[in-house]
Amino acid sequence: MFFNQSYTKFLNFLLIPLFVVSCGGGGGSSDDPVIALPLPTVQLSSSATSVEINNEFTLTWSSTNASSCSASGDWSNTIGTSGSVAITESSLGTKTYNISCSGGGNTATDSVSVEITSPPAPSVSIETSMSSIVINTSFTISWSSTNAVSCSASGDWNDSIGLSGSKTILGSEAGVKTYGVTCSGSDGSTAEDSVLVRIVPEESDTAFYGYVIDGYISSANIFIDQNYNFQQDSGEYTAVSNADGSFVIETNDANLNACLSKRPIVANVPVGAVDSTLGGVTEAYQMILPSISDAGTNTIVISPFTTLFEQAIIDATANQSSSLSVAQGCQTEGDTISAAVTQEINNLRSAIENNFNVTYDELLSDFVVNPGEVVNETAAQNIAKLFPYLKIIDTEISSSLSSIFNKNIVANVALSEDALAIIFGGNSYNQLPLNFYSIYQTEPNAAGWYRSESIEASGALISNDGKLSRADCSENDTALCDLSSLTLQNISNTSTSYQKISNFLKDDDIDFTSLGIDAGSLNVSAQNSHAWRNNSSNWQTAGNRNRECQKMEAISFRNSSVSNTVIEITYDTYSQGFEKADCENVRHYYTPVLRATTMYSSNSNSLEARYYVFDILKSGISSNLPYDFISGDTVTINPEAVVQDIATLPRMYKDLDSIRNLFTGDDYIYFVYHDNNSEVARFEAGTNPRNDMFEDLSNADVRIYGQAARDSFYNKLVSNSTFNSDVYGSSAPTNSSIIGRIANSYIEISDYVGNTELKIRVTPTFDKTSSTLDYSYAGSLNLTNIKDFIANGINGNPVFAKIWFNPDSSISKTVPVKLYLYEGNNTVVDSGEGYFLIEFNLSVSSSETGSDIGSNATQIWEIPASTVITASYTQNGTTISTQVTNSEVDRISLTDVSESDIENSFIPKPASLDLKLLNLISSVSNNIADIQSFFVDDGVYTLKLDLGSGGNSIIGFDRNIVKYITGTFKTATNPIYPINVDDYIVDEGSDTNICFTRPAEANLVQTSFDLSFTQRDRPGKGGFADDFTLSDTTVNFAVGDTQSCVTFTAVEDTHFDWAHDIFIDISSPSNDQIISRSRFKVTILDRYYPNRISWKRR
Amino acid sequence: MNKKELVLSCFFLLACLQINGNDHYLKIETKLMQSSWDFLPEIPSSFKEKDSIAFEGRYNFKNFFIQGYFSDFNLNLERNSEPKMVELDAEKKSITFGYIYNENDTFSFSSSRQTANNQFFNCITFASTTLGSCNQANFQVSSTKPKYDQLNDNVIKISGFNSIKSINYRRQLKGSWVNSISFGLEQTKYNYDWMTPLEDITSPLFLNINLNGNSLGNILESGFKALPQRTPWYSNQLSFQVTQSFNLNKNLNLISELDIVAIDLKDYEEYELKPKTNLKLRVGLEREFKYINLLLFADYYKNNLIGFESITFNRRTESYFDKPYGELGLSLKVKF
Repeated sequence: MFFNQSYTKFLNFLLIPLFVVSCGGGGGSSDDPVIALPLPTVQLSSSATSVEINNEFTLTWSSTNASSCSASGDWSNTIGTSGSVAITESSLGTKTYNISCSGGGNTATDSVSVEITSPPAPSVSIETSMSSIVINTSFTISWSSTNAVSCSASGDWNDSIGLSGSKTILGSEAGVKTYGVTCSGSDGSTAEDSVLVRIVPEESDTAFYGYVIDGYISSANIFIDQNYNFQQDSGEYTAVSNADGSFVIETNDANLNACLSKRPIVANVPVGAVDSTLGGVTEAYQMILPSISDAGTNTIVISPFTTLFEQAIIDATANQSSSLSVAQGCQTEGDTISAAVTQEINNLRSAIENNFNVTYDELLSDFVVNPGEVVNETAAQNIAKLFPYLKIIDTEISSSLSSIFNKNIVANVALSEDALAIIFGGNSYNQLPLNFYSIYQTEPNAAGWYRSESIEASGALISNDGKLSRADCSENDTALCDLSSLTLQNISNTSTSYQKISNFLKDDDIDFTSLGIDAGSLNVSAQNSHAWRNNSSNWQTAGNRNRECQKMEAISFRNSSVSNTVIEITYDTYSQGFEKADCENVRHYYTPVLRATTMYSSNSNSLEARYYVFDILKSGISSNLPYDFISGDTVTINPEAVVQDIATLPRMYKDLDSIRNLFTGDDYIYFVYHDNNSEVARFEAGTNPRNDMFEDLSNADVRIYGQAARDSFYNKLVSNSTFNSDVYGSSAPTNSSIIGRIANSYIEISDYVGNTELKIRVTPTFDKTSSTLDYSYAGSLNLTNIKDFIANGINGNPVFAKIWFNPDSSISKTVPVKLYLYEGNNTVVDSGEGYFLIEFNLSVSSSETGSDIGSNATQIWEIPASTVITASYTQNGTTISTQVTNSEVDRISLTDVSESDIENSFIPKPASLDLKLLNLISSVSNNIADIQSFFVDDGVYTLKLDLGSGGNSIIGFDRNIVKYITGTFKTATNPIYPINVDDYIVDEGSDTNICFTRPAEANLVQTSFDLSFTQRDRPGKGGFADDFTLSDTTVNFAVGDTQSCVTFTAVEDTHFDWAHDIFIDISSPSNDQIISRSRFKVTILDRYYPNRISWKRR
Repeated sequence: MNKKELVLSCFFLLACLQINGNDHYLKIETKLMQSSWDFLPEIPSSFKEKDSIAFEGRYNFKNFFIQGYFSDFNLNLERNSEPKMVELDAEKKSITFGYIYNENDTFSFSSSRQTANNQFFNCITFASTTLGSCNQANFQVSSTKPKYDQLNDNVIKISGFNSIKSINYRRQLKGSWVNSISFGLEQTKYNYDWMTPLEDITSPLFLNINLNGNSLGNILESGFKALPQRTPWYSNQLSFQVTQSFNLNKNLNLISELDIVAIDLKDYEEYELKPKTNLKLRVGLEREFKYINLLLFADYYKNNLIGFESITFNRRTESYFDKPYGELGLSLKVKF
């Protein structure tokens, strides 16, 4: 250094004169002589560009023409014009060293940077030869370090140690011991490592030793769940965990110990317990070890990982009829469950080991002492985060069950196997699927009834911060995706699959003496099922079924008292709803199904008679069909009565006629023929025999209708030797009573004012009890026309009715017809009233082209020649009658109503009818006036067509079986024509004009009346107030108006409401006008599920 | 045992009785008529056959006697209009108390009741209009009223009975050509009833129905008038009887009896005619044995059976009672 400074000074001395001379001679303008001195230069360099802190390095500089130099930056002091200096920096970072040298008035500078870096960190590792030893045995720990300058022992040893080495230690005190090593590096940094060695005390043969681990948890309540109810019962062995999570349960009973080693050990972690890693526990939760025996080790660890096996216990105890007592827990009953638990655990163990590359032993290990890649404390804590929420859910369900059974019941909600895939999947997660199955079952009571309640849910996700969500939430689909309330309703709605079943069962002491049955099993159940399907795709799209809410209450009875035969009878009120995230918002429509199945156990063949009820209030199948018959924890009906009701229903194919005669409206039956437990063929029949449908499932696209369907199903049954004529009868059933179906909702009566024809529509009502269709007319008919009709027949001004009719295609028979004309407004003959009766036999024959649903039928109605027609009059119980013989055949031909020409598709009249009527009248009296006098001004009369007493019927437009048709009308010299309104059918989401009309010949005064809705026929087909809107609830007719309309809008909704009827009441109109009806009906056809049969045709 | 067997058995029983006695007796008498018998007078054409049997017993005690009587009467008619077949079956029971004033004069008092079995007809013709349930009916008539349940399928039921009270005086005329004469006074009360749903046809509609120029209402009204009178009526009869007996040989007598009755009807609503008198003539051969009298006889009635079988007379039958009637009879009397 010094040399360098001296050398620089010397050099500067030599160069300065030269510099001065050369400058003056080189062009200076001064006359003074100039001495050109050389400029100073300087160079600074470092021995290293990067130096560890506190290590020395050298700066060297030299200069020329400099007289002095100075240092600046990270060094200072005046220095020589050359030299070097050793520097040691004590701080990290980039150090800059500057030098400035001056000479001759000029200055030269230079600088250099040096990076001061840290020295390498020390490291240390320590290992133990054994992680767990029995007290007073030795183990060896060994350690080694790098970059350390010193090491020291810490924890449960305090020896002076070197930078590496080993030491044999005697474990003299029980507990988890920590052996740590701390090593310091040269810069003062340190490295630590430690090992845990569990020193267990000398074990008692009658004690259980274990640990509760998430981190190690102190103050947890541990008990051996002797009776598998996950509750700490009196008499069960318990302990509280120590600070290191350890616990000991001493039984002092070798036999009991043997039992308890096969029972679950439960740790209830209360609020206030301490997790050695996470600190105080703020939300209580529960962890479980299935059993020591199932764990296969004497080292008992109760941890989140062992708790993953809880579902195995729940599954194994699912079929347990009732909770065990503590004592029973170590008796045969407990052993049975234990065996089942072992089986379930083995299954789950295999699944885990095969699917997740995690060994069973790892799951059961002390992962704090021996952490693994997957099974470690962090993973355990992630799992355990969910436990408090599971407990909340468990409490929610438990409370539900407890309130039902009025006793304390634990539901036992656990993480399912599905959650394991995520837990062990190797990826981070913050949600786990919430899958659980919980069941509780009582013992039979004195009457033999017992009950089970189960809830099964899967697919909902619960986050580690306790939020519920559906499985298929997305940015655009956020319904039910962030529910913080862990209620059962939210769980049910978020679950991909949810099912809650309440069962009321009776296995014995069945006494159906009236049925000849004294044994069998009876079950009453209520079931709520919610489902999200196909990843919830498009579930909010109209008509989509990927979100479905189902509800069903059912009664079933099974009996095998008849040798080789099992009879199963069920009744259920299944209903479903779609497009509702919250199933509570689903409006359920009851469509009960009654099934009576006869199974032949010899070959698994069966014939199922499945009755469908579309209108629970009007069904002819039974008048006492229950619904909502399970209220809370009570069955509100007598299920045995329901079973007996169903059991008395005919259930064989041979009974088809009598079955059909039970039906009203949309009732129908579905026969399903199973061969070897597989559906082979189906046969469907409603009220209209022409719609009978056969479906051969081996050729599913082909459906056959009418008589061909009846024949085909008969042949199908006959072909199976299992069945005999008791099932299918002696021949295929035929339609022997139903002539056809009325094809319009109204008839049209013609009356005349002068020569002007008035068309009066009359819409009927149906009385189920009497099977009567009533076409009563509120107005009056022209008396003159009626008398003219009697005198001159139809060729005068006929009082005529148009009736639209689709004939049956197969019936051929003689149909006795009775036509009554009563005095008065009903068919009851009051004192002083009389009635006419005309009786004759009508010959009906039918034919058909085609056997599909679009076939065409033709029917011939004949009153053959020589037919005796009886006419009578009855009054006060006295009947006077006469008979005439038909001189020549009367015949009309009927075909299906032409939908393209409905106006002209009514039933035609026989050409000679007028003559025949006149002949009949003249046979009664020589003086027509005598007969005419029957009709008087302001007279009230009732017509009645009786087909029923001859065993025949027709199908009404509303598909009721009609045996009688009635109609009350008035006669008047100056008739009154009412305001009329028809029934309507409208598609949901559409609107239609409801038009009220009155003939131009009526009294066209101003009038108005109100429309109102009262909910009726619920829970049958009746609609609700929110199913529609009316543009106006008041209908106004101005003077001279013949029509006034309001708009009816069928509100589009997401309810699965089939065809539902809106009954609208009409108030009395002003100004003495009359309305043809006090109420009319609008049938709303659900957008996607209007009915099973087309409403248009048959 | 049918009626024929009963009659023969009774005859045999009485013939076997050999009781010592004098004025006590038992008697059985039967009478027959067949319309096919040519020797009969010109009886009403509808009278097809008739039979009857009567039992009579008498017991004397000093100057008194008591006499019992029972008869069963059966008359079958065959008519041209409905009802075409008519059976009149009636039983008569009577009791007589007598006083024997002396061996020639006897007084007696009788009380009788004659009851006809109910008659049911499924059709009835009024003025050529037949109503009922038969095939020939112009109109079938029936009723659902409970009171007519007893009719079954019939359109009318007729019932009747008579109560008869009489006093009689009889005198034996010894040494005369007349054996005896007797006088009697008799009052008969007639009780008839009928029921038919035809009465319930009240509808003006049908009552005004025109049938061959006559309304149904008029036809019914007229027809009802031809049915037996429902309100009771009476007949007072004065009767006179003469008997004769001519001894043909030791035990064989020719007997004759003449009965004449004069009839006065009270409260009777006449329909067509009202007979005033009747006459019955009996002629027979009587064979006497020690205790037994056997009589074979023939009866002739001038005005049918009026005054003798009162049950046969009513408003429906009165038209027959201007015609004669005849029948044969056999009587067996056992004295003891």
